[in-house]
Amino acid sequence: MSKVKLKKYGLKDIMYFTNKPKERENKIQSASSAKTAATFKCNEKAAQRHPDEQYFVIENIIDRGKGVKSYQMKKQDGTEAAFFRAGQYVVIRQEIDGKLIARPVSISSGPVDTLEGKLELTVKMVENGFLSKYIIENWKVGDVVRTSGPQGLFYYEGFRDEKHVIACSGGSGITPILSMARAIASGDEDFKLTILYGSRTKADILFAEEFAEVLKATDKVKLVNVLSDEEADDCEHGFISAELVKKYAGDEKFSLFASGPQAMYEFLDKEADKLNLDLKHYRKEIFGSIKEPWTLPGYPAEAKDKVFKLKVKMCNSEYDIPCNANENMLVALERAGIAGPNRCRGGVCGWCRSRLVSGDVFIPELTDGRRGADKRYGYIHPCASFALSDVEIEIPNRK
Amino acid sequence: MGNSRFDCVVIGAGIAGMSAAITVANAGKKVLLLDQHNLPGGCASSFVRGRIEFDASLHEFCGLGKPGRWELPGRIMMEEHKLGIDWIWIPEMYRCIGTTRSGKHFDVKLPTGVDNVINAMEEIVPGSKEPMKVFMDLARECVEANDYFSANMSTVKKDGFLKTDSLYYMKNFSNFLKVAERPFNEVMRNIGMPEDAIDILDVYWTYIGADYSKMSFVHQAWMFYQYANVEPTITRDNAHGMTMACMERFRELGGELWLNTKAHKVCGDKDGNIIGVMTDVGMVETNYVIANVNPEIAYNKLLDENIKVPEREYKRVNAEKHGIRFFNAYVACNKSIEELGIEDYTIFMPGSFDNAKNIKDSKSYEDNTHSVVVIYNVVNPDASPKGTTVMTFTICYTEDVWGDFTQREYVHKKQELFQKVMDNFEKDTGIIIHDCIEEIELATPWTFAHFLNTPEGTSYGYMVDNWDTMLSRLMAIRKDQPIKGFKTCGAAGARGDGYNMTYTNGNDIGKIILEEMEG
Repeated sequence: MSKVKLKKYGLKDIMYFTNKPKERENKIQSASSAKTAATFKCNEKAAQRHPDEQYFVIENIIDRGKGVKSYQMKKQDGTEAAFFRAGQYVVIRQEIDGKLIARPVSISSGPVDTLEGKLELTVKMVENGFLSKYIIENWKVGDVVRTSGPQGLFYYEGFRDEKHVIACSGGSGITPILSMARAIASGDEDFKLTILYGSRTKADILFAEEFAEVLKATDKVKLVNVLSDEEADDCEHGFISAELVKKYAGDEKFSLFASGPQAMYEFLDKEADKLNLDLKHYRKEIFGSIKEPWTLPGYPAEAKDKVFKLKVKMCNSEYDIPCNANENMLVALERAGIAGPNRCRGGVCGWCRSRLVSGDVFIPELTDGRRGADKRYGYIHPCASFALSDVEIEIPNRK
Repeated sequence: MGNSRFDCVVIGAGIAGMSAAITVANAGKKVLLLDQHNLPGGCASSFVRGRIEFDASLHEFCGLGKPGRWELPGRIMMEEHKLGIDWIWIPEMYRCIGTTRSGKHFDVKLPTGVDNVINAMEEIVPGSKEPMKVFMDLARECVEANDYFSANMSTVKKDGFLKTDSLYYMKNFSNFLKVAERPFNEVMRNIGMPEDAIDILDVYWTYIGADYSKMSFVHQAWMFYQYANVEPTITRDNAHGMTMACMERFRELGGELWLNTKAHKVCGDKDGNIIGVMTDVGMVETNYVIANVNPEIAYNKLLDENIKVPEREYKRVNAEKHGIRFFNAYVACNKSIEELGIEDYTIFMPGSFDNAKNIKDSKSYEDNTHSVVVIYNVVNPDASPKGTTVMTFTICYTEDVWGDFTQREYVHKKQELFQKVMDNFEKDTGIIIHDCIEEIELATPWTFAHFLNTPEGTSYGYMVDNWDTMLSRLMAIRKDQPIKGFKTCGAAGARGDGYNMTYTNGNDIGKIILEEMEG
């Protein structure tokens, strides 16, 4: 092929070319031979923001009654705690009977407290709740608590959410909403928050004093207590309905945030339908696994109550363990003391992602947060999968 | 417990690590691939928010080729490694909107196809047709010379550099020898390219992150020609799908993948021979290790004290400057591209096309709003659910600009920046997205530092520079890997950054290790 003629380039440029490697070598030879890897501000900030783990000392415990306690903690090493978005959670990692159990717990303090190393977690004792029962009965002042960094996607996002957020909350589901209210009061978040807080009676209302403090500090937060089993002058009566949401929304556009027990979501989903909201305007904090998968459509009834064999490959080890069909597969791994990384326990964070080698599993659609290619290549999130036969899986290393 | 002896251990399942692992396994060796994360892929990954799955990093795979006419990376991935990837070709180069140094405003599109690009440039900047022809011819020669070079990298001279057949180059690639290492903009000027056209061609700098008044011609010429000639690609399953295809093939070849498993030390015996890797699950015996990490991390943290690192290697890593790092806004709208009025896959919005100004701005937070957006649904209808659109905005930085922010202001800084980027996008294109964002995630160098563990959160390894060109790195590919049984691969390697380059580099390094195994 004929080549273009280059008038301005000639033999000296070929010399320039051939000398380049030598030029590079000279530059290398003139550099320092120091044997230290530099540290960088960016990496340090990232490590503060997203620590693998944090250790706190419990400084104060507030018994809020009805099996709810708040634990006010401070970083053990005296440094700042990881800053977070109000509404996020941390994963508690607690050794119980020699087995490492992990559960997500909402943060009830505001993000600004992390600058003093402080964090407040609020735990409600759940019936049959393995870790919550342990915490409520055992954690005492002076204990050291191991947590993950902040996790979760239930927070205000100005580019997506409307300026006015109506938060529907029930029981201890109020904790992430309290954190949001505190963040507004401290100036770390900027939106208008109307909280519809459902309780059975006035006596069941949590964090009344804490909210009073927030309301004093900012006029952007409004709290409406909604009582189902009692009538009171300054409270709404009944359940959190579409009508009630409309009443407090007025003519303004709004985003609906929901945080509460599974039963509240089931009720609220129907009410939200009546409000004709875009998908993006209705956000739910769901963590914790699906209970009673056999009540869901598509579940093969014969699997219920069975105990299957679960063969697990983890790096260079293999285990044969039982797997109760009624519990998600992560629970089987935890019971055997071999659970790998996990965070949300609701199928969305992907941290427990594992390869399904053989066998059948049931994956409820509501909590199927897998990547598209993972579905096609046969990967599952054990926290949101239920065994339907003997199963073999390959899991990430536990640590 | 299982047998923990392997022919080769690859540390880090990033793009180059996966490639190296497949290359070695493909030769019948027993290979262990380790990654400290619970997910393989490194940059080649994705994440789910609500009903949307975002590609973490793949904008455009450059220079893959097509079935029957694969280019170098395509030949390795599809013919040698036999990966089951469903590629999608992008029938356009880019649209760019901004003002050149002469003060003229341009909003132009470059199609694919070498002749199409030449003709389009002539229409955009009259007088650029002839120089464009010369440019394309030189660029083609660069691609051919690079292919020839890549196929002949095995003979080493006494001084450690590769032995090349100068007569063959003189005969076949004489223009390549003359211009390859000259600065890109200088070559453009010397072949008579109009200044406005130079500005428009320079817009790709965001994808290389280098100063075009200093960077070698070959770098940009190779990339530009590949984009023009064979069309850029993405994968139907996004980058995580590419990773899954790699891992599926690796497993078929008998490879083992251990996730969430950190390699703490590469261990040597008293004589400095590699004997194994200490991992989270104990010692794994092997005599050959490939690490998909920056060499500075390998030398200072990974190798134990028995393994002798030549002083020259410390000097080399100390001489290097870290490459560019990114701010990414992953945005999903609850409207289709038709509803939004989107037609283009890639839109560069530099504001000013002045490369020197842009390089200067890339060292600051306030001045840097030079962004590029890719809109996946334009070429991949499966990129997100029907009625939605998924796009990624990117800004690059050449310094650790984000390292100065406090924890408390960090989120506000991310939001403030994206607000500016979105305002510019809406103003430049007339496409309105601010009222229909359904999911959004803003990632900064902090985010990349967290997930990739690279110095300063860079994703591009070491900066390509006037003294540290791709070709001189390639000439030293073996000299830069002097430790027997231990090699590094990745974006900080000889070929630099990008999916194509890192995948090819992993293959290069895999082959070098195989040669050492053969003795």
